[in-house]
Amino acid sequence: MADTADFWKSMESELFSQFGEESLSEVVPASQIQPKTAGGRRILNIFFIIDVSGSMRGMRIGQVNYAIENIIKELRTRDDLNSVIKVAIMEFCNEATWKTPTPILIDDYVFTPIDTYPAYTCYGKAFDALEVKLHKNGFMDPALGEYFAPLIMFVSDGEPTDFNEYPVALEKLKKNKWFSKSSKYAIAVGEGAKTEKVGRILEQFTGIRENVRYADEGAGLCNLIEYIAIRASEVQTSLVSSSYGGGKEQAQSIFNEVDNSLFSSIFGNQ
Amino acid sequence: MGSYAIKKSYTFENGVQLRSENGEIYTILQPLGRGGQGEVYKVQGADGVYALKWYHKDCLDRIDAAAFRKNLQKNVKQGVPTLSKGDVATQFIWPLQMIEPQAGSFGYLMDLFPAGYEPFKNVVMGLKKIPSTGQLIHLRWKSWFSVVTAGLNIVRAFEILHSLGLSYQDINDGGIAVNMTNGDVFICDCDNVSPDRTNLGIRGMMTFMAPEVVRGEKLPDRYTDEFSLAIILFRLFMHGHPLEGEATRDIRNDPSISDKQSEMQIYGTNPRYCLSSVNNTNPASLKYNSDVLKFGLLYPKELLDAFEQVFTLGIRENNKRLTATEWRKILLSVRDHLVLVNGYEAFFGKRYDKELPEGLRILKYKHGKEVYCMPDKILYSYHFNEFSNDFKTPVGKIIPTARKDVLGLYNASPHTIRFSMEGKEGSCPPKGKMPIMKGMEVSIDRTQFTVI
Repeated sequence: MADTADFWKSMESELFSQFGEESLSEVVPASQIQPKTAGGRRILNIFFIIDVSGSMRGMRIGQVNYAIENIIKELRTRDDLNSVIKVAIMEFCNEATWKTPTPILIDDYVFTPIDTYPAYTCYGKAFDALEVKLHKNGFMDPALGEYFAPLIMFVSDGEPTDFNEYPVALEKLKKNKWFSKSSKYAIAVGEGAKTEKVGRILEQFTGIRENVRYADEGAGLCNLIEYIAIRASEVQTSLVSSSYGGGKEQAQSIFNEVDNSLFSSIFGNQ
Repeated sequence: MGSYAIKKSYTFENGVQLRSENGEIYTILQPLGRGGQGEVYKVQGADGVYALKWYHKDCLDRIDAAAFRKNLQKNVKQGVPTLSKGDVATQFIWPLQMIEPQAGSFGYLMDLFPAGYEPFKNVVMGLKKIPSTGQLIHLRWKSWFSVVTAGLNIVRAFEILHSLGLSYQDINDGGIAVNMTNGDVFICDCDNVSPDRTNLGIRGMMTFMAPEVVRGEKLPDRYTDEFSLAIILFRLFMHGHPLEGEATRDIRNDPSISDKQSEMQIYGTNPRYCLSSVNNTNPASLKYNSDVLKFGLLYPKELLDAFEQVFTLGIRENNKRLTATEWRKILLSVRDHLVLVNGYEAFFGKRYDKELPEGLRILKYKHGKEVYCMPDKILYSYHFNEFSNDFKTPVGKIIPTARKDVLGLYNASPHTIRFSMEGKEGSCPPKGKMPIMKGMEVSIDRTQFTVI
């Protein structure tokens, strides 16, 4: 180490003599390089689960549309990810519908805006519709290739209206192996959703407190979704050896203390 | 010969007092101008001088005036578009207060354009008329850096607006003013801003409208904003209109069709990009669109490719238009390809090969982003943090060193930069200096790049 420091020190004095002496006083190891997959491209499914109930109308669904369109375009430019990214979008209110009948390759995805409906917010319908697809005869068809654990983003602006039904659906979903292995994020949008109660319900979905984020009307949902999609997909696709059921690394969040200052937590300071 | 003047009558005489909806009094000082929608006055309030826009009654009669007013009240209440964790779209001259209705109309109050800003139209023409003398004077940008920064300021304003789920719906060159020294911009006429896919009857200005709006098939929304934004940028960078070329001239000069029909063809039913690289049936003319051809050779290919996509595929497919976020990334890349060589600015990365100046180093990021570096290049927050949108806060400066083949970097950020080359590692603390050498791997904050 000392030799290395001397090398740069001598280099510095050669290069910067006119600027006086400073810097390069200590040698710190370079940051770690993220591990790469051994070879072959695996599929990373990214699922967006979007609340399209009446209260999302106007600016809120406008924010969601702008954010998703941009992240699809951004992920397309990141061609050195060692994965093939596919996207599926679910809209839910009284019912849950997959806007994409099957996950679509990010390069082929033609985004069309999501509409809202004068209807309730039934989390249970969304959870059921997700559970059905997290199987090999659904969106995780092994005939199409090998999969990374999916990335799931859930966006809603309020607590569920199906209080009695959603817990049953969530319990069933939690028993799904792909769901437990997946990386899950929940974003509450708008003032009305910034409650402990909504936070606790969404925490049941994500399993990790840090992965429940809050985007108020001005919080830049676009930045938040971009951050989650890019960071989480990088993390997901670098976990080569993680096995079914999830290793310890799956319990980590991409959000650290620095990010808490950038993006609000629904629970206040975490 | 006698002179004829058409007397423009304004609704309010100087000295008339108007009351805002929260009870404050504003006195008309002088009219500033009038347009299709209304009149603008300079007014005196208790705490300063403002601009006041008053709508033409007949304009309000053509739309749902009650809904329009309610939306404007909502915009006043919400305030200038702001992302809660920092960025404010200060570029917008936002409606501040509503003025009480009278005689079937109403108005709103906003800040005046500050001094030192030129109307966008003048900036594109490079000319300005002195009102008192009628004399024409030339306007000059301070630098190419300022031109690109002006573009960035425009797109960043719309990026914030759009990411909040709003759309502007009437982007045109009449409401934009530019500081040609530092690239700062102001955008006024924010009275049509509404939640995306909600329209209150305003369609916009023909030459800036998306073709589907010109054809009357659709009302403005975020996607049509994106088309209009691309026209603004084309005018800023190329000094022309993307849909005007040799065929346009033939259409306008055809006596068998009316002006209205010809405009409909050019901007609505048969829009054709003048720099299209494939089957160009409306090429920019050497005689009439020489600026467009000249500037087309100047900028990095990435910018020209972006225009080509929007004005060919994007004419029909909304999805092929670029979002303001995509434009920000492209313009940052254009600025990253601009360096000072012997005291003169030069863009690299053009359609044709250009020899790189001696000593130039490129910072290559993992997703393909490249930053061309020569001494005096300033690096900004987004260079050290890939999730930053901040293109204004300097975090570093490229400096010369005693060796021609090695550049230096002054670290003006609060982070320590770590670097390695040929197995040797080093670090550069805040306010420190480090070499930028070919083959070096650099890591800062959460961002890494290689020097080539």
